[in-house]
Amino acid sequence: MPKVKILIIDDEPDIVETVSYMLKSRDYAVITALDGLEGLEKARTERPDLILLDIMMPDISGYDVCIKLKSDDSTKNIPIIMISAKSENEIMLKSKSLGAEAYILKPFRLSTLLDTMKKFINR
Amino acid sequence: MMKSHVLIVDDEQSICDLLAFAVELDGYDVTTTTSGNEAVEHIRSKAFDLAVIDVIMPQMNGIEVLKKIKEISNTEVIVMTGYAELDTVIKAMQLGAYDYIIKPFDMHSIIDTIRSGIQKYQQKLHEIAQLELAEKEIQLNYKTQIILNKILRLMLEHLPLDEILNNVLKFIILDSLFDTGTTGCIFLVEDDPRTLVMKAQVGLEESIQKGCAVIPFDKCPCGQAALTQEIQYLQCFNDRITPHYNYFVPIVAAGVTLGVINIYLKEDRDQDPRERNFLSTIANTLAGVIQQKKTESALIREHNVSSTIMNTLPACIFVKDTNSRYITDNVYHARVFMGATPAEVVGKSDFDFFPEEQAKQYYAEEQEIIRSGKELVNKLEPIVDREGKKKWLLTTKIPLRDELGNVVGLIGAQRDITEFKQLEKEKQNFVSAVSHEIRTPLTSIGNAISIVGMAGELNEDQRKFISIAVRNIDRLNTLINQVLDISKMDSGVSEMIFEKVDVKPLVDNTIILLEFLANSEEIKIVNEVTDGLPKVYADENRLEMVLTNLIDNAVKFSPVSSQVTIEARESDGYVEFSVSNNGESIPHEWRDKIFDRFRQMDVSTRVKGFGLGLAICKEIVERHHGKIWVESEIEKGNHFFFTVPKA
Repeated sequence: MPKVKILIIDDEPDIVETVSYMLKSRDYAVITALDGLEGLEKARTERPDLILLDIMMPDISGYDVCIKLKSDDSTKNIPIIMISAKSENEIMLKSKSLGAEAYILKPFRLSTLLDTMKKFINR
Repeated sequence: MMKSHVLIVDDEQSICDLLAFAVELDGYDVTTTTSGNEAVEHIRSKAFDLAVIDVIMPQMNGIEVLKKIKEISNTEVIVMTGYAELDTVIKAMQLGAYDYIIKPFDMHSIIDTIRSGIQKYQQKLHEIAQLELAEKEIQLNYKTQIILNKILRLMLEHLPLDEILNNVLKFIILDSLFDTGTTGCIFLVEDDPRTLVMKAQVGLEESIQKGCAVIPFDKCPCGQAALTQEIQYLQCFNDRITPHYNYFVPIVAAGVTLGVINIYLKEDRDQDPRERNFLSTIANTLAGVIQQKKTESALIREHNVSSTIMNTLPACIFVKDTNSRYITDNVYHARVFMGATPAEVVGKSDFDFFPEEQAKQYYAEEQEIIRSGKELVNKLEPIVDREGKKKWLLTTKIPLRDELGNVVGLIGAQRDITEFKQLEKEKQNFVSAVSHEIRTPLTSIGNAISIVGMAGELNEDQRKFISIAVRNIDRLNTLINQVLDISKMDSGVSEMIFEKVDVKPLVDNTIILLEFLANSEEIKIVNEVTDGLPKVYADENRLEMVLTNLIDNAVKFSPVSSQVTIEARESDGYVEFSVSNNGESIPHEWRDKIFDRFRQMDVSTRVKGFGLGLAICKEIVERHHGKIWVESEIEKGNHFFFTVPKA
């Protein structure tokens, strides 16, 4: 059985590194991208099973990445978990309205992240 | 006493002589003539007390002479006539003769008649003199009255004081009945209370105008009059001028010398006491006018001070009547919010300048203040200025009362705190940005530590320290969240925006957001809130914060696989919300502490596990004029309640 493939899009290398290490140790296949453009590219070419997407990134924000992914037939069915340090309601609502499947607040425990991911991978 | 003059007219010289002899003997001065014409000439040239006239004379008869004399003089007339001429006697009496003598006459009786005629004349003269005197008095009073009226009118016309003084001088010199010269001046006491300053003059030579411009008290007669406060009449010797006679009239009010009026006379002459009275009266009136003017200019100054303050303040100040119409408005309020000048605003109401909804709100608010007499203090309200910029005003409105304590309007003062609000917002943004920035590295630290923790090959000490690190990352995270909440709350101290809020959508939305935030526990959130509840008067965001906090807490303290229930019901003017779980019951002694911000901030008194969340909820609910409390029983779980007033 092929491994579940996770794409992490975040401009913070430390986040990317720790999360991907942890996911790999849980037997996930992990692809990473350090900016929005790279993320979009990898989402199209690698067809991950789930995307972890940081909202606040330079150049292209997580919102824009989310919009593009959800409007592209080849990627629109990939579940997206938005990650942000901001807990303002309007940010969460915006994520939801853009079609993201879930929202997770920094700082998050890895266990929480795994629990949230499982909801969408087991489907 | 002067001798009385008697004129004797008879065409018979012998009778003239006889009568003259007897009358002179009686001590009178006598003139005789035998001609009627000549008699008239005598009367014209000299004042006679009495004329004795024979009726029957050639050329001009006695009756005609009588007529003439009565026309041109006050001389008493006695006619002499024979027995047969009764008609003539009657006619003479009708024409004003004093008496008559029937020829042949008895010398004693004729002297008696002459004496009483002269007495009559003297009495008449006296009466005439009295009459003339009275008439002059009346005229004088009348003139004086006219002048006083003129002075008062000048005062009412709001002429400057200098101009009034000039006019007063002219009235005294030109309009009075007294024969003054054509020169005079008026001094006033100004800043220095012991010095006279010339403020008005008529006919003064330039050298005197300069030389006498300032006169210290007690120097010159002018200064004397100022010092003694008594009207003076004397000759002024002064090296600057030729000696002249003057009246020096002090202007005094309430024992204080306000100035001196100086009137020159053409020459030394008898003083009429009425002239002094006249001048005193003018001076007294002028004293009143000067006092009035001083009060007026003090008032004007005061008014200028307050209106300058009002109009330079970068704040709104206005006065309204009981119908909320503007009595006064200041430049800032009129210009920035009404696009008008203060003068254009006076007499109008907010309905002439603001959108109707807003004007209605102001009106209702002000009518309530006027009705109840209770002031409105520091109400924060948004407003849009004439340039379309949104501003924040801190409004205070105080009832305006008259001397009897009746409310006759209101005074409004509004401070523009937009800048302050902006700073506050920037501060909040900064706190928020910093807090958010901390979250990302905190995530990396947490992740890194978790990975090490999961590695498995750790000894007991290593595990212990890793769990210490994990716990403290959690603490730090909680702290950041609370700092953010408090910063929002504190910036919200004055920024609560109350509106009518639908309860059901609010609760629904809050729960959706909480569910959207991934949660790993198997806790079910049950929304029992139904449609049809009344709207509440609340700040929607803050209310959501309370709900989020309570639900969050309830979830946190719930046993695995249990549920949290949210309910709401109407209760006596309020909507009562409840958030319940099946968690361990909260000890009785904690039930107040957990809501206390200061206890929860203080390490020594706080109840662990609750943080500041409930204290923040309490603050928000109380700002809504609601209550928050907890009911907790073993086996029945915890029920947090709060109330919010109906809209």
